[in-house]
Amino acid sequence: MDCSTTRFVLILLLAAGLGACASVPPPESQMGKADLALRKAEQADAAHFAPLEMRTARTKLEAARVAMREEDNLEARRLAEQAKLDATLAEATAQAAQRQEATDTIRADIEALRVEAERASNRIPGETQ
Amino acid sequence: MPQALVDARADVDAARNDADVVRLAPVQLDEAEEAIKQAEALWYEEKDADEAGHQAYLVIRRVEIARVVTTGAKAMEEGRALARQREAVLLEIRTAEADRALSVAEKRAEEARRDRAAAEQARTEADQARTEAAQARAEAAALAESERKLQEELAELQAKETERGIVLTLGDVLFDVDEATLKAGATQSLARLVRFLKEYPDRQVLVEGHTDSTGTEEYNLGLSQRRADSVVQFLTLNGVAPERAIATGYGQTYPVAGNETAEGRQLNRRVEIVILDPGEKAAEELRPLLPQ
Repeated sequence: MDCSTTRFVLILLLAAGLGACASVPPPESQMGKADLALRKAEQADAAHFAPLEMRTARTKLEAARVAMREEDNLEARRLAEQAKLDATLAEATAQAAQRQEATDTIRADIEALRVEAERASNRIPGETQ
Repeated sequence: MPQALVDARADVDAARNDADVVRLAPVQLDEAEEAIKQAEALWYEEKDADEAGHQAYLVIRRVEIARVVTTGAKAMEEGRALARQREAVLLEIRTAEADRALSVAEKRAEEARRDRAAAEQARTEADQARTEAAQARAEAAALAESERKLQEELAELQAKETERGIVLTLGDVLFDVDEATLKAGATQSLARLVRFLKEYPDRQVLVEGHTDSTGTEEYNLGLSQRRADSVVQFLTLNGVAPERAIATGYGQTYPVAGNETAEGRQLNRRVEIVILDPGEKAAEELRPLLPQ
């Protein structure tokens, strides 16, 4: 093996080592998406309606940040991806709960109106609807 | 294929068979389906169990999201239906309120109509009462006027109110001494009496002849009778119905003054006309021929 061959092998090895490292880049995009999803969920008041999912999402995003600092980018990506869907589920749960509340309010309204109408129609005797 | 991916695939397939999820969360369902396909492909490519477990977690989360979105959409659908129902109930209530208000208004209008009718009735009655009052006043005035006129006419006849009625005393100027024929000048006051009797046809009269105590009683009775007869004859000749005037001679029975003096005797020689009240009959009011 001559010098140039050795150098070539070394370069190949280096490139492979670098490549091994470069095959798991820092999950910047996934982190950003998770962060955005969490903020959207917070705006939807998910902390109130889906506290468990929200806590899970926050914990995982925080863990992802720690993993990134420790250059465990694979773990960081997985945590970020999970945190994003946890947050999205929390947001959807909050939205569904709010819609259910609104619907229940309308149902109660109707009941109250019926009671009121009943009373009103009984106010003048002999005059029912 | 790791169990986690098998379970995730089953989860996605179950969601795909749920008509509500298909209808209400199609985007999320598609994303879950895409995710399981990629996870399966990745597994065949790399056989990385850790990555497969991670991908399975993500797929199951996506199915959960699809289901929760479905629940929320259903709640919203129900809310819309209930909102429409609420509108219908409100409309019903407003209609009923309007009906009640209308019925109250109609009742008030009816009351107002009744009040107006009552007021109209009261006005009519008041008008009638006023008319009647005016009529009564007019009648009272007419009565007062006729009463006044009567009084005037009686005053003209020089009549006096006595307890026997209205008495008109004609002195001895009517006749000459011992005569029963009316003097020519006597007819003037008798003509006034005739006019009076014609004007008041409901009145009858007693015609009484009186003398002083000179001469015999029989003679005086006869003379006074003849003189009273002369007066009645004058009245009937002038159109007074005979039954309205009865002549009676009382002689010296009812003197009005003493017969001792010439003045007294002159007062006793007289004819008295008693004008009876309306409705009184002359035949029932005669004085007895002799005093009790």
